[in-house]
Amino acid sequence: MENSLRPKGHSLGRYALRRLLLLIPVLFGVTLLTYGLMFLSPSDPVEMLLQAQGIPVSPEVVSAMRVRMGLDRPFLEQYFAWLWRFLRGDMGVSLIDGEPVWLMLKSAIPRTLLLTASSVLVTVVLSVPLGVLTAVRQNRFSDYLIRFLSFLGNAMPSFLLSLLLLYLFALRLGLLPVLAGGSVKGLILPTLALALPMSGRYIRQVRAAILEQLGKRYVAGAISRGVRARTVLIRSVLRNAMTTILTLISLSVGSLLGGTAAVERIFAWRGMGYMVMDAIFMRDYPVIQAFVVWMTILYVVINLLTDLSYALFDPRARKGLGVRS
Amino acid sequence: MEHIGLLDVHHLTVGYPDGGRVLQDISLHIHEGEIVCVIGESGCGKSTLLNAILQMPGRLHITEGEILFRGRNLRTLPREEVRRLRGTGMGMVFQEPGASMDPIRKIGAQFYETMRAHAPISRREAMGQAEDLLARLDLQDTRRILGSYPVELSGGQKQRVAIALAMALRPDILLADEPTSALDVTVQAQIVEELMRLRDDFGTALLVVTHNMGVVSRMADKVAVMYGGRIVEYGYRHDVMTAPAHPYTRALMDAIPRPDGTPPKAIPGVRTKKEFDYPCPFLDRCPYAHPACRTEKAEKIPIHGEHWTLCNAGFKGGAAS
Repeated sequence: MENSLRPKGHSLGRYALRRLLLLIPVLFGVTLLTYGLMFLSPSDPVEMLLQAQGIPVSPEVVSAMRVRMGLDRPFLEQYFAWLWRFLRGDMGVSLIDGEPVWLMLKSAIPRTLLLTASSVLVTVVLSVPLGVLTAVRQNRFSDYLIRFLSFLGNAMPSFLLSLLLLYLFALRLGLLPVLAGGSVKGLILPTLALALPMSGRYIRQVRAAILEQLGKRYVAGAISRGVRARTVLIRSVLRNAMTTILTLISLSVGSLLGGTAAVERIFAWRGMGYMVMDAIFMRDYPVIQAFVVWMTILYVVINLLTDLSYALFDPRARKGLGVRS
Repeated sequence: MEHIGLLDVHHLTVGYPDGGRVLQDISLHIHEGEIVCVIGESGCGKSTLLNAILQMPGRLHITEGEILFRGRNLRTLPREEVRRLRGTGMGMVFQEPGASMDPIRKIGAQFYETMRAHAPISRREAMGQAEDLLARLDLQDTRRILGSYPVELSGGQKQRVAIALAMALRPDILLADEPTSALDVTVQAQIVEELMRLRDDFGTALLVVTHNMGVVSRMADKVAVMYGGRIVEYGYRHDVMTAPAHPYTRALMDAIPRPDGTPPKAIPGVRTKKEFDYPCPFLDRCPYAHPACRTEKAEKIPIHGEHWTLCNAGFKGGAAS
């Protein structure tokens, strides 16, 4: 069916392109800001490195190291030197162990992507059906039970849950490895440690979103036409609630892709969170900068994808985007 | 039970689980192809009446009385049977144009879904029938409308589409809840004409809830005047409008602006929450109330034919002047 009123395809594409172009100034600002903050912080990589080794070194050696790393240059010069190299595709090397930053990203990003994907998947699989169930069976026993469990999951911090899971499944039952080490079996516990608290939160939010939709007049309308309640729930209510659910999920995906410091640490899952914690601790500027660039791109892209997905689900949002472009 | 018509409501009482009442002892009989208007002010229970008739899920419960559709008691009918009656036996049009439609699905899909819920039908056939219905409601560009989302239509278009959706399975009776009050005045008149044409084309009976006297005088065969959850006067339109018997109906007539410039008179006082406990719901605002009204329960007093009123004050017809 043709529809002349709907905005043409190109407007959506142009909208996306404009949003992506915005990335350039945002990236510039964010990297400059991080560089400035690092510069202001009271110690630098040389100090941290020497401290870690625990050997007293003469001031001459220290300043020689600073010169070699370029840390003696003025702030802006350092920043633009980094920027210039970065724009040519050179992310530099770690100031700590000399490993090329892109190699570090190359090994950390897939692990983080994997952990993010698995925990979001488990979260969605758990929270959408349970959220719908509690909404439909509002104020009955199953509703109370699931809401209680979700409260528990929500209240439990990931690190505590990680330890409990480790104790139960790795130490007592011996079913799963203590250290994840990148294996599939090792993925299970960190996934649960992330997904269970998230599910706890999402069950309630999905429940609220579904309940809100169930009160809408279009539900009464469909019922008054004799449409089955189940059909209304799946075809209309769930789809209408989807925009809310997608927003929530996209926020979580953003923070998960940044790596989850605590969980990655506990399970020795060498993802982005693990990497950046080390880098921040050691003031490893090039690594931190690369991480910041990664996070910025992620957030902008995820926000864009979320907005575009609204347009996919909701013709009203489509109209809104169309008008703006 | 006597009076087997198309829709018979017998002594219907509806309330909240905590005991608060919304409707009390409502009886109403609608025959095939008849247009009955229910008039009354906001909050008098008009919409509740429609929801109760259609057995819509909600917080309100029917505590007493029966609703018979073609003699079948809707209160005891299995839920699946009731579902099948919705849409095929009884349809509903809501006040807010377009509110009865899913905002994120195309109108064509909603027609198809409605028809499919009752009988197997091909998409092509469903679209053909839908286009035909839309055209009967004076809509142009019917194919484009089926491919549109509700948000892409104007208020008048939406209300016509909503009526067409409710009529998709040719119900015997259409329940309309303030079908015109959210629309522009010019569109209001058109919608009224189109609703009346449904009866001519399909023999559809109409139960129209409204607070618009213009709608009543244009459409109604019979009028039920509601106040405080009760029907206080009932009869043929001509009888009720030319010889209003209940003090509230009279006050309602006096409250209409007239073309001769006579200023409309407001009904003194406000509704009280206690009206359900009173023997007569209009007691506090009634200019004709006498001491007996406080003690004796207001009874149904026949005037002539089917015209009756719920009033003990002894006003049996005659102009209000």
